[in-house]
Amino acid sequence: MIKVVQLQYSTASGGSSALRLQKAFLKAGIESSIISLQADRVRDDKITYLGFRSKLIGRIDAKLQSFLTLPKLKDSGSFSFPILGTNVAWMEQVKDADYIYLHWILNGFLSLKSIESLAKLNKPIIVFMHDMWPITGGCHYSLTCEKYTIGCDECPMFIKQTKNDFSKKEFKNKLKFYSKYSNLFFVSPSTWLYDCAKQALLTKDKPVFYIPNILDNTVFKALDKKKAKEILNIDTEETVIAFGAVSIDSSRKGWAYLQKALEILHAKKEFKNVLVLIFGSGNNSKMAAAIPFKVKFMGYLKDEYSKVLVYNAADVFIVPSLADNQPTTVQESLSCGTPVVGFKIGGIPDMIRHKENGYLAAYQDSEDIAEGIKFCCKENLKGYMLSSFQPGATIQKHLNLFEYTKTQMNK
Amino acid sequence: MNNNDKVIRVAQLQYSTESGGSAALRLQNAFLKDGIDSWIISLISDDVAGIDKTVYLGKRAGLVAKIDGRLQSYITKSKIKEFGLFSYPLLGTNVANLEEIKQADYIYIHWALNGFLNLNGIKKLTRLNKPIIIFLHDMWAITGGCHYSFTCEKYKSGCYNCQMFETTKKNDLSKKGFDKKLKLYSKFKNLYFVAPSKWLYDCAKQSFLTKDKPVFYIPNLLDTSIFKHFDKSTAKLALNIGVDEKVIAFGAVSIESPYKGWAYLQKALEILKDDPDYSNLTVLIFGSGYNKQIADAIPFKTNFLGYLSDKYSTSLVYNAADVFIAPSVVEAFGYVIMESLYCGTPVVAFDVGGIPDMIKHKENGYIAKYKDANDVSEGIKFCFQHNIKGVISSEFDPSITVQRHLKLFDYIKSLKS
Repeated sequence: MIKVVQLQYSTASGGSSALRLQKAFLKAGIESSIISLQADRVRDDKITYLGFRSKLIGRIDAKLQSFLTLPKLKDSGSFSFPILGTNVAWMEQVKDADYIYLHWILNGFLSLKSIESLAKLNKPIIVFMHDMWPITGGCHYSLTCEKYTIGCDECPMFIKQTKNDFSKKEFKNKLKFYSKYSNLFFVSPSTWLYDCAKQALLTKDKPVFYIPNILDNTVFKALDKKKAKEILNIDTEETVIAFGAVSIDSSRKGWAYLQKALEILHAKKEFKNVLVLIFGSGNNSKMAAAIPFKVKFMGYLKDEYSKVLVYNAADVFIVPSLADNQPTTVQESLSCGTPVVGFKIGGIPDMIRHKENGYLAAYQDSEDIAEGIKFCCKENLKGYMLSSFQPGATIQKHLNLFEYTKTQMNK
Repeated sequence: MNNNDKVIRVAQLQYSTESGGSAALRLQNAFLKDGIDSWIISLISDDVAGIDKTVYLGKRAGLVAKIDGRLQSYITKSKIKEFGLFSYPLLGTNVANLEEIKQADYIYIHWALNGFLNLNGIKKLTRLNKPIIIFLHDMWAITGGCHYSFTCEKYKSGCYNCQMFETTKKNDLSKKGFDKKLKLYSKFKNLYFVAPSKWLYDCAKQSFLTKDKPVFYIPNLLDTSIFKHFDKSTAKLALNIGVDEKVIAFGAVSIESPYKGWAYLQKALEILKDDPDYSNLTVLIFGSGYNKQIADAIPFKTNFLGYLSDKYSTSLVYNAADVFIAPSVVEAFGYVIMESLYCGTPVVAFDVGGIPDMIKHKENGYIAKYKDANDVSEGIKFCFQHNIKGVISSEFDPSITVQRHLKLFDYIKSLKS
């Protein structure tokens, strides 16, 4: 039996992708366990949470990092330069595994050194990229910067751009590490990030695969829309425009563009009864004041079942992200039968067929977002997941990857 | 001057917004709806983020609590597990200086142990000379330290030589805890006690600590727009359960919890298994995730939903269930029972604590003989056979409960003048 171990900062990070993949693996008869730094509520005999010492290391690392990367430009997003980390190479689950998946393992969980101790085990290491960090000098999203294709230096994320900065150091460290080992395999859940990895100086000669995240379509599925609205106390006559993210006011999630689009819709008087349905954490009162329609905040939803209700109650779901890899919200909404309006960036066009199961708006164009909302509602568009995203197809891609690593490792 | 127009302001203290069945948060939402201003001060920030009017204490308070936890577990190390919690708070945080407290007309102390408030911290609040409303979420405030006394009645005369400890000592922690509380309670006239169940009200009226104190019965409340009855087949569909399947549900807790009585349910399920009418039951479990011991002990098709944090998803589970089982052996109130009944699902439970306040035997559920697994299985059958629907008396309506709080405020005012 194939055995994998998956490392992830917390079971909820990176869109719970390790946990979701584990469930699908187990269903398919592949043995899997998760090692996670942060304990959250998911308790399971196949999940191991690290102890107090690792968490303390994680905290110290976070403090050190935020101190070192202090003069960072606002709104530029995350930059990680891991200094400390926990060595997990000795753990039974790791030793037993045939394949080691590294998901989102930053924030003090793994440093490059602890990743290297894993690589030294001479088992295939599958780096599952949940953002650009594995292929850059430290940023999680490079936005318009393309230095990662030639070598990072003078990183534009910092207020003062200096030569030989952290981005350069980390780039060099990664380059040294990656070129030393031939058992590193990279997986991107979006074709966009796949292309980035093929262009990155760090990974262009490395094996890179495109495998989307997996979603349980027996949980995320279409229910009776009217009933979902009733359950959430929404008038069934209302047109429901939904938006959600872990933190709704993160600038990367593009709330500002949706807000403008709503103003446009309001000014054009296109809809009579509109309800804006929002889930996630953030400043509710500030947001509410900027929305010209009735608003309902669901708060931060942690359970899949409650998200399913929200997607089902929505007539259209908006993902105005300015940079994103493979946003789970798009996949979740489509799987629940609700069309999605989003910009043509990152992994979004992988999932949305324009005017078929959603609407791809011109980048940063609120006018076009408004147009998309109108289109989806007026045409009564239905969301659906493309067949290439069905769990069975995704599991097969992982199995193919396993086969490929075998041929490479035996060379 | 007419004082009635002034907005009433309350502050509610609670260990975390989720502890004590989210009682503070639920009460706050109802208060705000009714035009009463309310703030929650909580030690632990759980990620119920985006909640307005909540103050989380900082890192220092968190550290103090952690140290207190270590110290307490050290001094109570001879505790017998079966009796559950015993708290003897040593350290705590003084919150009397917080702006939200200073501005409050009434201060509610909910479940505020685990290093949040010690008796000194409560004293500092009491000294502000504002009404302090101690909301009992278990027996702790009326005992020498245990959270549930079970059959012990020493709290009625004075705790000592506590049954919870292996070592018997006359002048033990229960005596010290009791004496400290007695001193605090007798020194101040601005302490009011609220019990959410009639059982706990009676306990408080009999406790040596509170028998001469003003004690009120005010049940907990919940958001009835979320916990409501809706189409059972939609709920079953959402959870991938066949519409024709017979579903019983319960909230799984750790098997070790001495309060929740898992062993009785396990036995009841074994009894049911031999009944051909119930051989195809589906068991729905929510709670702290998959637990192998629980799974192995259930002789039916079992669906583990994991820990559910959102009210919408728990409401979905109650609605999908035909019968809900809550085999608690002690229960100050019983939020799961209230939630289930509001969702239209009958509940089988023992005749204990706040349970008989809400369940009327054979009307909206079944009250089984205490610790009798056989009667639990009878109760499950009864609910199916008679197609019992969960309903709850209108006396639990949130608006009526808020009225009870307002009456309490009026009573306090009348005492002052």
